[in-house]
Amino acid sequence: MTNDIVDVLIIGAGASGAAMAWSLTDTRMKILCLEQGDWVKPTDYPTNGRDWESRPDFAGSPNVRCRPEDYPINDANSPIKPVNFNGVGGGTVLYMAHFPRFHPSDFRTKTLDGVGEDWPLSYGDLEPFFAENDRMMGVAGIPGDPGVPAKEGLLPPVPLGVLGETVANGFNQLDWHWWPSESAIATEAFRGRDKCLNLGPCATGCAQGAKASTDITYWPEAIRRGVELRTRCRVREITVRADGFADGVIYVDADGIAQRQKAEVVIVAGNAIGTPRLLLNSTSNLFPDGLANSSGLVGRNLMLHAMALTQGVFDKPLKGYQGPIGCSLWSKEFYETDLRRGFARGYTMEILRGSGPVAAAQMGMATGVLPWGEGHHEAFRQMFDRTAAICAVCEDLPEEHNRVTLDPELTDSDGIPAARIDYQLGDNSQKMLRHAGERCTEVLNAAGAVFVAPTITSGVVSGHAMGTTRMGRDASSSVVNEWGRSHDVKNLFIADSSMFVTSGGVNPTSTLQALSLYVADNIKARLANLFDD
Amino acid sequence: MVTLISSEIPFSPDQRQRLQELSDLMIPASEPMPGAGDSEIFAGTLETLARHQELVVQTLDRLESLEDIQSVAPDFAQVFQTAVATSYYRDDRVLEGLGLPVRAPYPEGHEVDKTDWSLLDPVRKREPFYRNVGWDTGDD
Repeated sequence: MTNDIVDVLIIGAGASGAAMAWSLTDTRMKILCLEQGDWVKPTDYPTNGRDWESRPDFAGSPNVRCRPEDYPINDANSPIKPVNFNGVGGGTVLYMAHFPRFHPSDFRTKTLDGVGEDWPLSYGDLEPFFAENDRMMGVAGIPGDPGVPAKEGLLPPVPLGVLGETVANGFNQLDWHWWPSESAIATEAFRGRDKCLNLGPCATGCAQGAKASTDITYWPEAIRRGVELRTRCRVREITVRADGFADGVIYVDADGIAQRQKAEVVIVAGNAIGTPRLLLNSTSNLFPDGLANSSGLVGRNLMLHAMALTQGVFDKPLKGYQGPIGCSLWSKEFYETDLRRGFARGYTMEILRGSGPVAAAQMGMATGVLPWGEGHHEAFRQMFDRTAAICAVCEDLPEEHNRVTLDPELTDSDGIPAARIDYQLGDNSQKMLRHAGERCTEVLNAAGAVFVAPTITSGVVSGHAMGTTRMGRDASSSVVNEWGRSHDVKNLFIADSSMFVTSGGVNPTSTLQALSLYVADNIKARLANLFDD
Repeated sequence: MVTLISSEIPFSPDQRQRLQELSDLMIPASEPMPGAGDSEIFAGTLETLARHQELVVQTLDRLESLEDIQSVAPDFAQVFQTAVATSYYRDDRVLEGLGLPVRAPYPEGHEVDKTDWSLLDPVRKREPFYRNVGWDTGDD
């Protein structure tokens, strides 16, 4: 079945696809977004029910969630397990809303530190789009952080609570930097969203609607301005004309029927695993190795962020399960390169609030803090609500052997080949992880922890996939140009974190949305000659 | 909360009994707390374990003793302790025993005390220390 041709077809309704769709409404073009998942009703979120900590249908891993709209990911050959969400809002439905921006130095790693590559754009280029994105999402914080560039328009900060104040005192004891995290959470009524109720587990979705997921930020405005969003439509491949231009897609609808959708411009916003998967599945006589892949780099340079998780147990209740779990305070003390540490680049220390009893018990058993048998109850009372955790988000460098490919056997529910990731932590990351674990332990001890568990660096999960269709000016060493257009296919654009050249040491959502708005702005500015060389 | 009916649980009566014994070994009853082998709690555990039927059955078949399961079958132990913790720590009696609210987080939420931001005073005195580079445009 063939549908009417549209001017712009966006694939994916997540963080970046939503921003792209909203921005392009300025053009009055006919815009269609295809999303393989569905809308999520606020009443479906786990925090509405007593089983709020045990809902596999809202797990971060698609391999656990196993909804029909999820595509599995073979992650057996990776110490870091990717998480995502397939639905309107994408990863923002389940993210923690920790909302730092990349730092200015992140765009110049080759020049400054001799590692990675420089981006073909700068922090200055993105700054207006960071600000525009903040206005749409709503970001809480306190201005004046000496660790990051100044910004304006912040909502009141998320309160630290006992746990945050306790750890902040540890940083002060060491004279190390800390600051309340910038958080995409409405701490007061904001653009139709009510204020945060401190439910706690933001990572299973926000029943209150205070967390800025794009299904409740960008999408209502984009739809009001004329964008058509079609859900339960899984794109199987992007099709091309004889002249090498993309002419649309074939997608599978909710009834399992293949549909043809033609378009003048195709924009892929499927995240750094879903996007290369789609391009690699889009083979043709013209593009036998996958679409936009003349460089051979589609799927390569996958970055997931090395993460070091360190937990400390205190001798007082911390009320940690009260408040947004991922949004408390951060430290940029070790963000910028200091080669005396033995590695290049750096990391952000992000303090996590405590979890509910189920997650606390699971983590306690996994780390050996919580024993089986007679001592179990006493040990649980000693640790539950007395545990603070620090996650160090470490920049990992782009390495071509870390990659997304198509799995030879695994498929999604429509029989489309699934993604496989092969990923190893590099030497620089290993050194950074060791350093981060030691520093996190130091903070927790300074804050008064009576016990600090060994740092965990393997088996951690990450929703921070980046780099698999990197941007650049040279078509032999990048997949898209400096404004997101494919080098090979002049009417094909990427709008997500696949374009990232390096990974920074922060959560990527703010930056990937700013980048999407930047690409949209370039499309709007070049409409008259969008496809020219 | 438990959605599987007993005829759908893919374990034999003997296997269920051994799993129930093991649950009680992991988290024994201790007033006022029930043990993890409590029938209501154990039903939830079984529901989770049903998703790992092959691993569970294979492990039980080769185990001679339950006490050494963590060293003999670490993969199973991981799955099992996750299943037990998930069912046990959502039980009303357990939550009451811990003094926790027996309710969903929404819509009541939690009241978090206001922060005394004078805590930040030492940091406010610090000069900006991020590397202030890269503001030039990419076209420069």
